[in-house]
Amino acid sequence: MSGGWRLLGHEARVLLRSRSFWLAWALLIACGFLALLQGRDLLLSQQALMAQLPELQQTEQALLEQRYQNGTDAGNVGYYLFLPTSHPPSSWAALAVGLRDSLPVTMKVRLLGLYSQLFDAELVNPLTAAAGPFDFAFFILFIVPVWLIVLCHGLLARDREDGTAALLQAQGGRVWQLLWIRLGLRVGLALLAVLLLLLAGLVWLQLAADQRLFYWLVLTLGYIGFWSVLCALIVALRRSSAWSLLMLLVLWALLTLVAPAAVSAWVDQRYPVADAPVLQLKQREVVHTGWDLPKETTFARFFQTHPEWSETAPVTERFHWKWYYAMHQVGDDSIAAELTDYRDRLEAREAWVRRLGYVVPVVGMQRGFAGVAQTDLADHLHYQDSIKTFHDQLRAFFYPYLFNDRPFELADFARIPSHQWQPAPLRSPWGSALGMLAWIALGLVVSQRLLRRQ
Amino acid sequence: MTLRSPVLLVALQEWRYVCRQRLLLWLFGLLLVTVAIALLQSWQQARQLSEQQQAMQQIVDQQWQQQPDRHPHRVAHFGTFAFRQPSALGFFDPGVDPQVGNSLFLEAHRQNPANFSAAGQASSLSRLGQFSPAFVLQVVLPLFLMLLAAAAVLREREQLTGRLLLAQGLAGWQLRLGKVLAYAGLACLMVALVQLQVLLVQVVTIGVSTELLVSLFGLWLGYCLALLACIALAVWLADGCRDTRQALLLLTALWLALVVVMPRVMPFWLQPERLDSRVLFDAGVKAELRAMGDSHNPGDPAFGRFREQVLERYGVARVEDLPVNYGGLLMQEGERLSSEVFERHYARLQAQRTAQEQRLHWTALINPLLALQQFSMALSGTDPAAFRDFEQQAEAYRYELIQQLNHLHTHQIAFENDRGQRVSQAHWQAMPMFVHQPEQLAQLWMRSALPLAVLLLWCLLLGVLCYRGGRR
Repeated sequence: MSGGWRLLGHEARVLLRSRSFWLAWALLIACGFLALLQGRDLLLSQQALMAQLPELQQTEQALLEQRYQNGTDAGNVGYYLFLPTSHPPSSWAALAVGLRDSLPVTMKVRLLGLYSQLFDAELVNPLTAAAGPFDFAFFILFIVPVWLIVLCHGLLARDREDGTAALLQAQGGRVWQLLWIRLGLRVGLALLAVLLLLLAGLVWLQLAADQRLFYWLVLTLGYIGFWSVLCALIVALRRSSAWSLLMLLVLWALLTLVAPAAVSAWVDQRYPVADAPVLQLKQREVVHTGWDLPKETTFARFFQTHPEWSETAPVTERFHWKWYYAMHQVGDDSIAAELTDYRDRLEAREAWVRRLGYVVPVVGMQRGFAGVAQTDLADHLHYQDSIKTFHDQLRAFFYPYLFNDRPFELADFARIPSHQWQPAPLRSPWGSALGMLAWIALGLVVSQRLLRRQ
Repeated sequence: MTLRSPVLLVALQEWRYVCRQRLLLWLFGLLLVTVAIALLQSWQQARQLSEQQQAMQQIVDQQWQQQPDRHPHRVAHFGTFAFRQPSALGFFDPGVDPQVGNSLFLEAHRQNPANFSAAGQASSLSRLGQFSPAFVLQVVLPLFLMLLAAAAVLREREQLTGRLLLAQGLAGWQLRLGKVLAYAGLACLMVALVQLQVLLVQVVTIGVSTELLVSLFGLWLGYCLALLACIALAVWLADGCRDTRQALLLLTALWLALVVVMPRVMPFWLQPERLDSRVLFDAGVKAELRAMGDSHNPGDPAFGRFREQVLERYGVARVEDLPVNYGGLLMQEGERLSSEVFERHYARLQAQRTAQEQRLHWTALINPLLALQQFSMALSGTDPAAFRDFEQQAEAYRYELIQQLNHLHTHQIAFENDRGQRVSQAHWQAMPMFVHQPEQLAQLWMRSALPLAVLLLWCLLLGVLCYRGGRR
């Protein structure tokens, strides 16, 4: 027992005295810090954008209020008034930017058909978006494993190559003991770096220290554990350090670069959504055909989904706003089936990625981190749902004016509903964490067996 | 170089060595299989997109043709859609294609964004780039070639065979360049095998054109140059290293910095200003349009001067006396003005984007792999400029179409009871639909020439460095 402690003390001294180790450690910290900085920058710019919206809204609304100060038809207000919606980031979004840098996080909607507005793309620079963000999740997923590989690939081979192996054996240490001690020290210091950075993030980015911290820690520990065990496994094969490095890098490239890309491509191909514009094609066709149909036809379709207005007076004049908005609503209603189908396909994609995440560690982690930060596709769909709810509220607010021919007074402007954001409930990443645990256990057993075979 | 040239002999020796190494052969086999899977996957996806787009194009054409007799301005609001044809080599290197939308709604008064980008609908995994042959060749292959080339140089030193060779009269530079030649040869072979796969897929599906062959050859050349630069860099650095271990670590770190970190960190440092969000952009355009007036309203005082000019031109006193429909003229004028406003704002946005792109292009000077990335997507027709070309084609078509409809409005609709009238569907049935014209090969070459020149420079520089050797 004391032999093990002595070995640990010795190894720790050797490692901590090594200048190149501290250089590598400092580089790791610097990379992590850079990742925090970049995530924070995106978060701040999005928060600043959202802070601008109320004022922008007030200016535009004031113009309308001035134009219609003596009251007007509610149809005019519904047509000209665009209302802002926003998707505020969770405090953890800075750590895993997810899709937030390429999907819209604010959007304006008006009373017209929702599905001619909901899918409008954000203005991004495709070139910079293509590379993707360098955030803390990226740092943990891609940089930390390489750091571990670089530091751990030669844990046993170095002694052999430097000719000091015999010396060590003479001291009576067991090889497996030596490996786990050396590996433990390096992994421990990597973990320390990640934890320090996370702590800095907690203070600096004011991350909410709730269950998300716990999830994040579990995922990080599991992932670093996975790579440590993989390093141990390769080292335990006791080939040359160059061979181990090459093999570990091949595994790294396969697991972190090729596997997620292949999973993603497979899932995307299995559930293609390239026909999504059909939603807009069809909605537009129905809305515009309304102009050439008898008004009763449009109203008959509208009343099917909105029976509460079926008793209101029929439109006899050439144009009436309620007819216009009914056309738009009929357009939205007409694509209900296609919309469900489209959403089903997107959700099927998510479900498959989740399932594959149990088996492919990087996929599970990437999903897990984005899930904890609530920056993934699921969260964007939740935002779209909140816009849909808001649009329904708007219609519920304006329809009484339109269908009961009630004039829209100046005071009514203040009563227009506004978009509310309720974050989706957090999904726990236990599935991926368990999958990871299974891999770690398997790796531990195999590498210990290999090591015992002295 | 004669057959007995020492450089060639070293290279031949190295090839023989590689062929004897089971592990290396497995590794190259694995890489080729990965590329083949990526190729099939990527091609399948491109085919799916193209099929679904053709189906949608048919729906759009049909919808356009089947419109009943309508008021021309109704037709202008009905609008049409423009679809972006995937580039022929998009499945080899998708470039920024997954980030941009492929469908654009074209209507009166408004310039819409291209919607439904692949990345916006993807499961949250695709942040490292789409799985494609180019991805494997640009990201994974350089790492292995660099490590192998470095190990090859240091093997000679550590096993003392190098000293033996030097004693036999082989110069240091001959040894180094021999190793470079060996691995560059392997790289050229690998890339050629990949290009052959691409060619095969093309032959089976759409047939081969001279243009395609030229592009494929160009791509082959660019990739070979970039990989040659990487290998020369590795050999030169390895020559200055203490031992294999140090060299491998150095090269791993370098690769990580060049391929993984730089492309993601550089944009952050190189774009001082963020692009306006669409909400702010639209607000800016809207504020200006508000001052312009409403072209739907012939009585709008904002167009008073325009009305006077029109009356003067036709020599009449009232708009009702004009031989043409004043409402239609006003629509034409309104469309012209609103397009101008939009174009101005969009040009500003585009200038911001281009500035960011250009700064990234400059970083290619310090990173040959970024130059390769730019070269590859430019020649494959999947760079931001190729997308911009589509946007411009679509906007030009939109403007022309809307103005044709406004022209109908002016000449076929009477001013009196304007909205109550319709014109025959035959009028717009004769109008051509939008067809996206892919760019000419010459244009693609113009954009890829600069990164190719940068790659050449890198090769020359590193060739010279290799020739002169490191410190040891």
